[in-house]
Amino acid sequence: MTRGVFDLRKVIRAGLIVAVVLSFTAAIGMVEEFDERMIIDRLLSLGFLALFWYVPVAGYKVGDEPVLEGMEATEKTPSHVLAGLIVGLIGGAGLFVLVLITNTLDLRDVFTRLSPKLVQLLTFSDSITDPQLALGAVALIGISGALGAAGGALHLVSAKLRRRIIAAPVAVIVFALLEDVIGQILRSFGLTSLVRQLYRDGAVRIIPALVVGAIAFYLAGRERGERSRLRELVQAADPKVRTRNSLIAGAVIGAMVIASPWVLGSLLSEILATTGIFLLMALGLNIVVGFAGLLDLGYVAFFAVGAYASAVLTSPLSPFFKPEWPWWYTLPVVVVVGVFAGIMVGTPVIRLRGDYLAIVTLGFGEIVRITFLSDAAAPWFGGAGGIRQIPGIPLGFDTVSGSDPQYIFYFALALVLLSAWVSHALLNSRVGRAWTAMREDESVAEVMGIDTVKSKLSAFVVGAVLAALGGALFSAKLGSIFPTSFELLISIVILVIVIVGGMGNIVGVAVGAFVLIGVLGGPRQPGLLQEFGEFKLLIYGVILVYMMLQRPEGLVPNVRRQHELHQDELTQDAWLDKSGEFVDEATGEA
Amino acid sequence: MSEVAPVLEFRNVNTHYGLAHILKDVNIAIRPGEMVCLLGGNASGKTTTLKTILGMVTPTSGEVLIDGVKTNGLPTAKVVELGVSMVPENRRLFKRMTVRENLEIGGYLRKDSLDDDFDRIFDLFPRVKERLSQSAGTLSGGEQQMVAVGRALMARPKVLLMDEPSMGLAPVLVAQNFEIIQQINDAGTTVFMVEQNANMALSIADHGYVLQTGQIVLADTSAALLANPEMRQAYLGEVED
Repeated sequence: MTRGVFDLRKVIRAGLIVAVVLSFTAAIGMVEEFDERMIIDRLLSLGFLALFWYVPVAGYKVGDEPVLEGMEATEKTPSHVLAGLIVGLIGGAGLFVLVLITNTLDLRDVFTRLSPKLVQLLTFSDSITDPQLALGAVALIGISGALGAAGGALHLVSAKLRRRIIAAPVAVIVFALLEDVIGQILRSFGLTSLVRQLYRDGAVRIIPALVVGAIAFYLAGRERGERSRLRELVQAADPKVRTRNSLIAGAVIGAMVIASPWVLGSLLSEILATTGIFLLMALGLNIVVGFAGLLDLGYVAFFAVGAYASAVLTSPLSPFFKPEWPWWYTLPVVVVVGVFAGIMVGTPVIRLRGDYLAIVTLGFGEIVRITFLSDAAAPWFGGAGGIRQIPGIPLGFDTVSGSDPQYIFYFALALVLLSAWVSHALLNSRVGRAWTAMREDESVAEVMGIDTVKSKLSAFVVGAVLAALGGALFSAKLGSIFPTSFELLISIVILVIVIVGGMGNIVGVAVGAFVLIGVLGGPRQPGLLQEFGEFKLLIYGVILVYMMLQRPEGLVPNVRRQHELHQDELTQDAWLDKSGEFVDEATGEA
Repeated sequence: MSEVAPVLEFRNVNTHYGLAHILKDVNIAIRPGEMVCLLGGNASGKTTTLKTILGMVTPTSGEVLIDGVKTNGLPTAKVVELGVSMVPENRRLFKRMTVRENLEIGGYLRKDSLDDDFDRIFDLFPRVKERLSQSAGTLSGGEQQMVAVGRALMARPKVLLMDEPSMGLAPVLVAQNFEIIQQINDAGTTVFMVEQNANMALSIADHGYVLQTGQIVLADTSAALLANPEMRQAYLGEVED
């Protein structure tokens, strides 16, 4: 008998996990909060999407068998559907228990979101009567079971069809969530009436949803070969033509990037500008953490120092520096202050390794914030009141400030390009090689003649300067800065960008910044999916945990690091290659 | 005896870790082209001797001279620049860097072109050339040893330090290793080897020093040491600390 056809314990465990996830999602208020935000007009609200999306995923996952080399693929049988169904039913039943508890006990003192409203929503009724509750139970458990079974049923179809079936709803959901962007782009091309036909109050209308789903269904079915035909065409071309074509492509992309703030409108430019500032800092931190391997948890300190330096020099409200400089003049000062701050923080901590370094830098980050907050420094930095009336960036004909996010976007873009170039150039330089060697084996690097103190300090200083420049732009953008703008959370978010994106990889860090800051938003800054506002940090956390478990090397990994993190699997693969067919009950289970 | 000036010399070197007196009036002289080994058991002060050469431990009295320059208190990078490089115990390659990058790091302090040195290393170890763009961790043990030696040679050292070349290796590899050391010494590199495997080391070295609890107890040519009854006894039944 083949293994894993139906493992009841595994199925029940998965079902209980689903019950916990559903109850948790409901209890933190996602269902209520997002009830008004429709995804598909009159059909599906974001609340129910946020609640139920996990059920089909779990229904599918429970039947997933790890494919090991030399192992026979398990048969695809209807038992997969049954497993999915049970998972869904248990999950739905668990959620209904929460509904019953909420209905009988008033727990709102502790769980503020467990309200009668939630009971009404989850029983699909306006009144809470016993028959309604019973009907609600049937509906809730039924929907959950059906979704689980649907997830399980995906095992029965071919890989190609599965890809298609998954792609269709995902595309519709993305299409609905990106209503802001798509709507704005269409409107800026004068297609306002089309927007009205596609969306109603942010939700996709049913017909366009079907169309989008159908298109995704079609596109996802195409084979990989077809999809890479373009690449083949590019590679087959004569080098001269290819250079010319890539120049043209580069120019087109460049023109698109330059035009984008005007096509995307001010809200999206604002999001892009914020993403740019965070990306700038993430690139700086990537040099420190990714290249040199120094875990800095107080990175926000350099951001704050740059922001304050620029603010003090430009704002008429800063008492201690009188002539107000134009923003441009502050840049050299910001760089110098960044270098100085990097050396100040770096010198005492540089001899520490690993965890100790992380903790001490954490402390330094807080020291800087508290110094700016302190009454003693208030005559210079304004204490808790911060520095206001920062004039923005003078351009001769106009002054760019936070009210013109389109212009701020260009500044952010310029600084990001600069720091990406600096990162790239440094990595391939002598210093970069010294950093890599130092990260690999510090003592041997030292024996090879690398001055590890100097190397580490230079990484710290480069990182500090990039963050300080980000700070200067940040203060000009906001117009006022306060010590609370530079909380520990920013250091953490930037580190998460670097880790999720792919430590040590410039492209990876950019992807990380777009996914986390661009899509979800910064700690206090809106992103594309503004709806998730208060759940943003929760989602960050979920993404981080998922990534650490499934893909610790990040979205776009650095080759060396990927190697390091998957060393075990590689050795295991090599061993399996040698031993031919190998089936192990224990590893097959995990 | 003193026809050529030593390239590495210890003059009455004493070192301390806190209150513990580690090296006691150590005198060593290594002349250009020689292969010298330092023998001793655990905790005899072998590692401290290497650290002292590399500037990681500063002598409390006495002098360390590299090519006539006093190096007491100089940072490691400066000492390496003066012409010392080391093959660390267990090779310690930068495993996730390519072979080429490993060799380049070896020549980190060099300001001139490394091309000739690459050629020299390819002449010595043709297999290194084949593996150039492979990451160092994927090489076999013997190949890794070649890269480790190559990496140290990239600095064009006046003295090459070898820390326990036989440590933790299978007998076949140990023999292979000593062949490599012999080979580079024949090619003109001065070698100072720290080793526990006395027979193996003395079989290829010109001179030997025996270190016991921080003191040089014997110093002679290899042949004389191999014949020395005291020596034989000490190494038949372990050195006691």
